[in-house]
Amino acid sequence: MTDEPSDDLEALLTTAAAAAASASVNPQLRQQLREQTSQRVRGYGRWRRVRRLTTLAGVYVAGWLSAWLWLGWHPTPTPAPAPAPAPAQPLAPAPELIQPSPPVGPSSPLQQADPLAGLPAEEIELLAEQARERAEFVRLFAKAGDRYLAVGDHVAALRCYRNALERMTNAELAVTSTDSWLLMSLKLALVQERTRDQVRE
Amino acid sequence: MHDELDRSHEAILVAAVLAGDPRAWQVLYDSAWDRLERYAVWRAGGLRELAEDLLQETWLLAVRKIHQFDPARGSFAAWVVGLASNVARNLLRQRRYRQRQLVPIKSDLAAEADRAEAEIDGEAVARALAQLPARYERILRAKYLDGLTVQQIAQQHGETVAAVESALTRARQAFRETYSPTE
Repeated sequence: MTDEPSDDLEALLTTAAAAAASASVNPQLRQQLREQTSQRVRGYGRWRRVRRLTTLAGVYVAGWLSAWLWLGWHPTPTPAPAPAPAPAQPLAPAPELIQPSPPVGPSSPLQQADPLAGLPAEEIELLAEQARERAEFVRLFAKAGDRYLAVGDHVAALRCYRNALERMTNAELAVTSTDSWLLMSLKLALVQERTRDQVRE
Repeated sequence: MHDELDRSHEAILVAAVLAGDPRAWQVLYDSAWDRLERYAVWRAGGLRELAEDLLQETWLLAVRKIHQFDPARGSFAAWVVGLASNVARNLLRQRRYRQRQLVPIKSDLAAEADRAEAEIDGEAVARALAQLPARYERILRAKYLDGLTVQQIAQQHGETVAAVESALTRARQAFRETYSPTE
């Protein structure tokens, strides 16, 4: 067998190959397709984050539902009915079962309640922006995020949480039981992102 | 080809692409562009318009199916060329169908005839290649596009020289049978 073309039809293949070797398509097409396909790849990242957040939210909701169902099927035991009262006898006045609570002093923990309790989310956010200490900054923004989340303003909640997360230490990034589902998800995503960046480096 | 990346590097890049990193995609894209471009022009029989359609369809398909790419089975460029091979068949089929649907109006007949005549060889080559079995198309590609010798093809495909020669003869014969410029 020879490696040389043996007839005109083979010459066509050779010609096409030669054209392929020398010709190039529209140079703008390369850049255009590069942009178009890169855009799609960016979408993979966003879609992946949304999926992760959705999964975490789903797990959180499932946990709540499980707890709710469990409590619904296992109600707290009610006290047994008291025995029938004996025939009425003149009794001495019964001691009061409920004692009036003692007056609360100024140093009582009840009076040291959260000073932000009555503040709307916008004011807490303002306080957070004015905070000079990092810890206070983080705490206030997280609190503002919680408030926004409670009233259903997810965009504002996300903004506040993001500010808080930016200045959180690694220890503060640990998920706690008081974190909202959104803060919990954002913390986990950030920790994973940082881990991935470290691996790349 | 020579600027292609090694397999482990490609595996890392693919993982990064799936995580949404466009820079990783651009590295893969640039590494495979030249080879795919040459292949597209060859498969299109030198027709630039068809080659551009082929490139576009192939890259859009590649980015959609990137999760199916397995670096253990071959290079990224080879995978993309494999996709292009299938895309080319579909494109040619659609193109042929459209041509049958279109009936040029009388005043355009002369210009249309000139253009058609100029394209006929390229079109016929592209159509003939699209009708070949994948194995024949691969072997013709290795021989004419990649410029490999029979020995090199045998080595690349893990076959004997005699087997490659025989396949090449059958592929040429199939090409002759399917090529019909007057159709």
